[in-house]
Amino acid sequence: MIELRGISRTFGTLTALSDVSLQIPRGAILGLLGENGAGKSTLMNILYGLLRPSAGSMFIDARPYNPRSPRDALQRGVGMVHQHFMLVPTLTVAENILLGMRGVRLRLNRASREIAAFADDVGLPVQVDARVGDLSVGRQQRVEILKALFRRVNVLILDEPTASLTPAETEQLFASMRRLRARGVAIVFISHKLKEVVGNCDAVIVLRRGHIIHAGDASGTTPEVLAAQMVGAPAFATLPAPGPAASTARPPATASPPMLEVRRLSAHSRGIADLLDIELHVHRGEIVGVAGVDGNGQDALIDALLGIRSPTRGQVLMDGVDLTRAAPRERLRRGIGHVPGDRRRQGLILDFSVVENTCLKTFVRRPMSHLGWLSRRTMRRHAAQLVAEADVRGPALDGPAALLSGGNQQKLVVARELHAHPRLLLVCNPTRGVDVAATAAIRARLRAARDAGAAVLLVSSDLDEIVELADRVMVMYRGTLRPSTGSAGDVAAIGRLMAGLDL
Amino acid sequence: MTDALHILTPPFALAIGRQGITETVPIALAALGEVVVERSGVINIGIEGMMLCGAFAAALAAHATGSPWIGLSAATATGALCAALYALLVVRLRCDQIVTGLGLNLLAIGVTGIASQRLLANQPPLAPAGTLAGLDPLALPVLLLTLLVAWTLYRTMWGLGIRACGDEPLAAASAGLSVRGLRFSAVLIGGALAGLGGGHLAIVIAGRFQEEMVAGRGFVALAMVIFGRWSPSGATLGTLFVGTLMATQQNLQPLLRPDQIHTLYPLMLMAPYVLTLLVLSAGFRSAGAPAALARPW
Repeated sequence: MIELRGISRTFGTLTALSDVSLQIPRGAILGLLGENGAGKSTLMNILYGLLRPSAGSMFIDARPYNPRSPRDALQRGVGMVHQHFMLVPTLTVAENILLGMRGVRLRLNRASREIAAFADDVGLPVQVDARVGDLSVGRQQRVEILKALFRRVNVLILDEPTASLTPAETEQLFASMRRLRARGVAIVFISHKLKEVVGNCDAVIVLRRGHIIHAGDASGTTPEVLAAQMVGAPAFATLPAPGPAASTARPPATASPPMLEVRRLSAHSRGIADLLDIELHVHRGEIVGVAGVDGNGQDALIDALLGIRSPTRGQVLMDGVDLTRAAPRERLRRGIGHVPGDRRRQGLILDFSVVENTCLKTFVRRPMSHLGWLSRRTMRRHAAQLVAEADVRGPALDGPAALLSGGNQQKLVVARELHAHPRLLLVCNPTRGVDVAATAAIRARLRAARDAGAAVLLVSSDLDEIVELADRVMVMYRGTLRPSTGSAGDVAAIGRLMAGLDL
Repeated sequence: MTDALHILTPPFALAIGRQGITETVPIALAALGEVVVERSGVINIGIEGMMLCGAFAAALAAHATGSPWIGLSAATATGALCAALYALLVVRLRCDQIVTGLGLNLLAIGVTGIASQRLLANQPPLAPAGTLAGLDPLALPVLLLTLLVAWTLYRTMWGLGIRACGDEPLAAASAGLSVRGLRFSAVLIGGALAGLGGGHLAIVIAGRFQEEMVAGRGFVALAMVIFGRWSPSGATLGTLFVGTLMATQQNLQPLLRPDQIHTLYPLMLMAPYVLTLLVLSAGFRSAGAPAALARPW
């Protein structure tokens, strides 16, 4: 039995986890749900000794548990399988499992026999002398699990284990989890796939903004309820059908041809469909919201629209021009603006100065540069103007963007993208991890851009945001995109689609 | 050049073989050390400088004590000392490995040059180290060392850790290993062997210390690690090839006519290096290199 009491963790002024208490009995599978940034990783890193809590205490079998490193955690029987495997591809399965264990001599033959017997015994048979790099992703994950179990782990944390598995591999994983549960292993299953959690876990905890907002038996809940809780809407069933935002929605400007038209767009990776027959229209002067639990193909859709990823079939048209095969720069030139979901990695270059970041997309052209020479003065003037307009507060213009707070970084990205007056604006989770004031400012700017005639595609896993901003709502689920049948404010209808019901 | 035919006679070939082994020993020692270093994910460009420091320390110690064996021990210790400095810079402080290694080489040339003028001017020839089973005294040890390095890399937990650090340091760290500690130990071993190689050069091959006497052998060792695909036996075989070339070239020198001193002689000196380059370029590229080679952790 592992128990957490009042665990909190702050990073500077941000509270990543607040007063989290939970218990995981032996032989139980606990599902841990939450959007990106909800605190799942922080919680698991604390459990595995990678982070120390700011407050609170942990116990294993009623004895205090304060791991300072993964090594401490393993010693107390807590193991973790990371989403990105910690395996050496050039080594064999047996060598990977033995890596880091005690002893001087590596008796590979004897150890291989032991590992093979152990693997058969726990019901996860594996070819011990195969090179890990030659194995399928599902098999590699099995090796990761064995690596933990072979160290006598009895609490196993699985971090989004199904993210890169095929459906068949996923089924095998669930079978393995059930076998381990029968042997008394406690499993923490992190996911944002609702059906998987409800179908395979004993208990479910939902984290949102660092708080536990739901804890209970998996049998007593439904994907629908959990979807609502993850994204922060009240339970759908109890909500009056059309929300208040719906009544203020503008009539869609469908008279003109659409600015963005997507026809039967599909994209696959490793034979799995990330996007399946997407049909989408966005007109001038409207915000189309794409709701959905993270990881249902939103990233693939945006990448395909930007030309970062090529679709396996289908068409992307902008203002009637076929851009399906156009290079990203060509698309940007035609007036696509993009506020990425990950501002730290995709939106900004954190080591670059604020000035440089404001000119990332324009520096190749006049007036930012002339004959290949940057015009520092023009860049600076442009940056100063953007910063003033968007009320970006922080260090000097020449300081690195890394020194800005999250909210100010995001305001800077939004200001840069809007300054070019994009005809089509792609926006992903624009207010995730952003404080209240900045959230209001960013949403106001998006509305202003819409009113000025831009076509806006808003992808967000925050249902509040979708309901507040969108004129029309679509829902992504497992790579498909469906229009919400009700009005934009019909949260119940959206929630059912998000949970994969109503299919 | 009719005399050249006597290269085909058995006694002459035997002499070349014996001398080839002697020429092989210092390069093989350095290359075996470098196999360990590179398998841990570090590249030691400073091998040349470490050999030079080893050679100088060997001459100094052997000169002072009269014992070639104390000289070789001093060479080993000095190589390890240089390696400790190198490891401090590239492993602990994460400096660029290429730049640091090159810097170490220049430092070694300068320091040993000045110090040898002060301390080893007009030195008498050093006491020879004798032979072992009619061969170079370190020939058999190098053979055993090849097996030992292979056994250590593939049959000990330490070797497993070293290999993991070279390919996927993140996985090694998450398994609870100290990547920096393992790399530090690998660099120390590499430096000690490079130093010993340098000592052999001074005591067995030259019988004295000369400025810049390593003459690119450290870089040949680096090349032979690639040639041998990062395996100990491959590295030893590769250096045997180069060592034999060097011995052949030296034995052909007396056959030159005086008018060939400025034409053929430089070409012959170059030959082992050029052949090394050719062999390396003929398909022996970096395929099979440790994935995290030269990437700091």
